[in-house]
Amino acid sequence: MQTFIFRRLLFMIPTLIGATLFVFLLMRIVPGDIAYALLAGEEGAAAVDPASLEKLREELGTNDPLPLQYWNWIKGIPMGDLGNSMWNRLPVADEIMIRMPVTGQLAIMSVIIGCVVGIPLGIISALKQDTWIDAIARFFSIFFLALPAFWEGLMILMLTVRVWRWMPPLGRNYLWEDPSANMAQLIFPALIIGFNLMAIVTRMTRSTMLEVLREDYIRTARAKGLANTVVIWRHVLKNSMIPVVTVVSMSVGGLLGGTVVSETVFSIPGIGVHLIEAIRNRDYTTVQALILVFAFIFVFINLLVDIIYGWLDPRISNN
Amino acid sequence: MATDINEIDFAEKENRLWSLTKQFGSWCRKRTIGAVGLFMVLVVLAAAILNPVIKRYDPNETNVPDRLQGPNAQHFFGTDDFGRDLWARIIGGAVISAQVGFISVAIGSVIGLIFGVISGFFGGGIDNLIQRITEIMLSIPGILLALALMATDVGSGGIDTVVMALSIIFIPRTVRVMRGSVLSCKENVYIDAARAIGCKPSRIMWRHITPNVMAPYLVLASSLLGTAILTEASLSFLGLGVPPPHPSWGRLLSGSVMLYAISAPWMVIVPGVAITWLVLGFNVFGDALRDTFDPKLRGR
Repeated sequence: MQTFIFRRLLFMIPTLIGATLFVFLLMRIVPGDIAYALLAGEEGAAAVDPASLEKLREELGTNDPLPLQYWNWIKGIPMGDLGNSMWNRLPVADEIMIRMPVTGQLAIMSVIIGCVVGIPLGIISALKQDTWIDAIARFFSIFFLALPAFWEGLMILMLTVRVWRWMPPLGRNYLWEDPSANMAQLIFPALIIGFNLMAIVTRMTRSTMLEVLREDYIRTARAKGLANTVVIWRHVLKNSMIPVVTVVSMSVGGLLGGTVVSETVFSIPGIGVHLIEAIRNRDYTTVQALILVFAFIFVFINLLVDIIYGWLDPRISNN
Repeated sequence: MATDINEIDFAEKENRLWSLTKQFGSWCRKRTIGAVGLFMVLVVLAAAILNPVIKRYDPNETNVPDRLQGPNAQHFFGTDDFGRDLWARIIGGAVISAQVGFISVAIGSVIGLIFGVISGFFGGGIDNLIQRITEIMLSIPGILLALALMATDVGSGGIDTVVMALSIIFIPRTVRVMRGSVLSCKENVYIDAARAIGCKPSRIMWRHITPNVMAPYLVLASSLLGTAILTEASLSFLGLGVPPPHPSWGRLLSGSVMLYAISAPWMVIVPGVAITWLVLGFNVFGDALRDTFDPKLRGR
């Protein structure tokens, strides 16, 4: 088991380095001069003074050759230094640390909602295959996949404002400081992202359950006279949870994207909103750092899932 | 004699068309829900294609005296805060959504298909390299990758950038799925036969394998279409997608629209229903396609 975890950790390093390189190239190779964009602002070309342009380029380091720029960027990352914001020249990492708890909480709440609703719904749907319960569950899940998250948010806001004359609180509310304001602020976005995840989890649970139900060992278990509930809990569920865990971990990417949209709709000061603000301000170092943070979270969660796997199914870790 | 042959050809062609129609008819009967999905998509496509004919108002024409009207006989979906006709704007948005969706899925999935087939067919070092690059691209969540691409292009941002961003998102996903299909297709006896009669690898790849992985490819492409439309709408909602003169569905919901949540709720409701309608149509149709082509994956 330890060698398995160690090997997975080792495999992760090239992916992470690759991710930094990919993000860096993405931000540099696409046409457009950062210094020029910063000076020109919304008005465009006319007002840019060549001397100050050169000075700004020098300051931002965009005149250096690309490999040097890349090195200057990544050398600080292992120490947690993600560079300074181009907008207010403050360290990017500090702002991320302030905003991280809210986004993290939102993501965790969404995963809990998605699994708590999705897994039982998928199980019932599979056990009652081709009945009206199954039909409703399937429609429910495909419908929530099609709903745009931002529109759900707008509709919820419209409803709360029209019916109860109430708006979720704004500003920064930490769970440990003001739990009720925190929950009132996060419950709706968490429900929106959670129900999107629920749709994926339900579909996956249902289809793997159906597959496992047709296996020979299930027939054997029934044949030797085990009670139905024992067959379902011990044999079917245990064997169908692995693909579900994969799907949940793969959906974390979509979930992180979902936080950006939901945070914007509900004005929650998390890292998602920070990313949008940074893009609007053409704060490239912050954008670069945030995309990297999201990528790292994604890769780490997948690693965690791999480890859970090895633990759930010893066949995988021995391989 | 010549005319006779022509007539026979013609009759045969007609027969083939007729049998295709019959096949399609029986498919629709067997997969009623899938047919409903297809119908939902076709309604929107028809509206987009017939746009020049059924157009009653210009989507960008402001008409202040008519502002904030509810749905009525003149303005089917009502008007917005500038008096622009929402029906015209929704149809204009359908044109954009269809354009962005089809072009980005076509570009992204074809590039992904090519690399997926190469990766699965050759295996070894090439496979390893392509898979590592795919992994790296997948490590950045889709919409965030698109946002980063849009960020580098805020000033000049256009439909092209949106299409490019979406295409790049779709490449690694297609590579993954197609590689898997190619790996299982490679085991077929006819591939051995093609090798035995001395076909070149390129011929085997594009003439023998690719046509046989078209079913999973089409299923994937149809589900990507839904994703493309949702992602474009989200980007435009965030103000980082399709730029202003174009009436994109996402942009209809951005900005000051919530100021009118009380006085003109249709401004919020209508664009969202349009997005849900089209995406739901694509998803339902894609599911039915999957059930048809790949009974083993039924219901996933």
